[in-house]
Amino acid sequence: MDNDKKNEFTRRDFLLIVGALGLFTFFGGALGSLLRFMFPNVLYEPSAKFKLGRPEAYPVGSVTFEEERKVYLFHTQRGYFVISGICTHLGCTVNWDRTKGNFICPCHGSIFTEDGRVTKGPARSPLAWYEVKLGDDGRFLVDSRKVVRPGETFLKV
Amino acid sequence: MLENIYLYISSLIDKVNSSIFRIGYPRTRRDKTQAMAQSLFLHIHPAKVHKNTLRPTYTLGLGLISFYLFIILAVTGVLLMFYYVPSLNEAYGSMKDLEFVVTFGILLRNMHRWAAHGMVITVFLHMCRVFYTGSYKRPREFNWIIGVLLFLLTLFLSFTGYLLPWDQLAFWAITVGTNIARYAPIIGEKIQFLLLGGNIVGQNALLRFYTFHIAVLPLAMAILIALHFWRIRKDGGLSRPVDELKDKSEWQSLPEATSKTYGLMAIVKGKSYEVDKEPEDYVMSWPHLLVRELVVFMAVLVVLLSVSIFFNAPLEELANPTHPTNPAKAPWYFLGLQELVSHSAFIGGVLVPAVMVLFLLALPYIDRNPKGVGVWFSRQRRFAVIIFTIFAIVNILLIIIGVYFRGPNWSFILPWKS
Repeated sequence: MDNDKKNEFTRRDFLLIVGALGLFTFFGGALGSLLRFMFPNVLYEPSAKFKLGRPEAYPVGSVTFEEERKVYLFHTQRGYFVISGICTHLGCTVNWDRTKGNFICPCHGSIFTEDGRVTKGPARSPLAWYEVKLGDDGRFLVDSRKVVRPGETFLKV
Repeated sequence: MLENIYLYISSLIDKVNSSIFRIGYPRTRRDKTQAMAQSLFLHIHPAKVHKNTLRPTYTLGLGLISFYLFIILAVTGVLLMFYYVPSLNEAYGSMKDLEFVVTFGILLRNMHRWAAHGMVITVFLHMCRVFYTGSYKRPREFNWIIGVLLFLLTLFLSFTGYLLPWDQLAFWAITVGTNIARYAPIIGEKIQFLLLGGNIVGQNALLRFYTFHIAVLPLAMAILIALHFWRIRKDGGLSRPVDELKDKSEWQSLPEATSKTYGLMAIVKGKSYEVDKEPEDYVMSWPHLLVRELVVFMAVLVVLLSVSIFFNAPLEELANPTHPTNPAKAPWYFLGLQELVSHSAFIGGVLVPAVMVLFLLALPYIDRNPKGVGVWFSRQRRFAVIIFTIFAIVNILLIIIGVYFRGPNWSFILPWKS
């Protein structure tokens, strides 16, 4: 066989490449579908919006931990605010230290101030402040998908 | 009459026997070779093994022990599955049932947990053995990589395993573990969602980790173990020192080929051949290798049973999604990692572990010094030995700090002052 013919791109080569591409596309698509399958479409999780008690239940100067929702509700002179109790480091629940007036994470020792700022690592971002409103039924309505700027938004009742 | 029946039955037994075991009890060398080659379960062994392979002080039996622990884990794990229910409401209850209601339940659970701890230790020590004897060098580089993957699988299996009781340790370990995944670049949050099967640690997460623990990971492990063993054979058996040739003066000379025509058997390189070195360092696998394997298995079982009879596997309180324990500590083998993430989640939880794994995977290709194979702590590779020792000691130190020097709120404490 002479060299010219050897290097020629034959119909057989073409069909081989097309076939291989088709095969890879198929298996790639199949893998992608299986990956998609692993992402559930419906979640049976508690709603991100939830209600707390009536304002009267929280006197001025009180710090209340809402167990079920892992949020802290503060009532200060400036008003009410709701702060997430989930450590921004790796998701443990922070504990409120009444005497020192700060949050401590038991898992890795992060410390946060009353309004959620980090004073000691390893956490790097502050605790989230959630939007809180007064609902029609007179109870607090918190939306944990809406994070507000810390230290600025207070609800007055 | 009676004699006929007896003869008939005994010949029947013989027939059945010989249909199963084609050669009977092997007595000749030929039969011993056949015995190893013709059995599905034995043919993973060579017919003959080098004496060095059987030296307890060379291998310390660590790979074999790890394998046995895996087998024990598979058996006890399947048994535990008969009672365990992977549901938020029932998981913890089924652990309590295993402990207090099911006959031998607590023993099997203890064996499963302690074998898992033991396997983390033996797999790690096995890796150290392979490193210190230079056994990852050519041609065994790829088998080292499979070994590293097996070590990682061992850790993942441990992690997914201790989540299943759904006690405090389980819940907060999933929480922290999946939050570490969140720090992975770009796809971190997707990975976390994928692992949890949602946004919170709940039923989906438990079911996913259960499926990983009982199906996906053990299957991957079994396949890789098979590959690991296969490669040992294909890479020339266990590593051993290069055979030392006898002093030249002791070589036996063959008569020079003259006009006579020799058959193939006479063609050897050079003027001499090694008469009695190589072949005599090999022994028949039956019984020398098999007996040792059996002894090691019995020893593993005895130690594991004793530990499991006298010490109960830990079980914390029922998971409380609101509050972690204080301090919230992972099992000891992950406390080095916990110590690392307590300094920085990204660097300690993602970057450093990734670099460590890459370092281990790349090791046989970085270390291109071909010397020192088959000898513990060979002087010809002092640098490599020092580097790896530092690597191992740093990891062990981190674990020791995490276990003994960390108190409430992960603050630094001195264990002798509490």
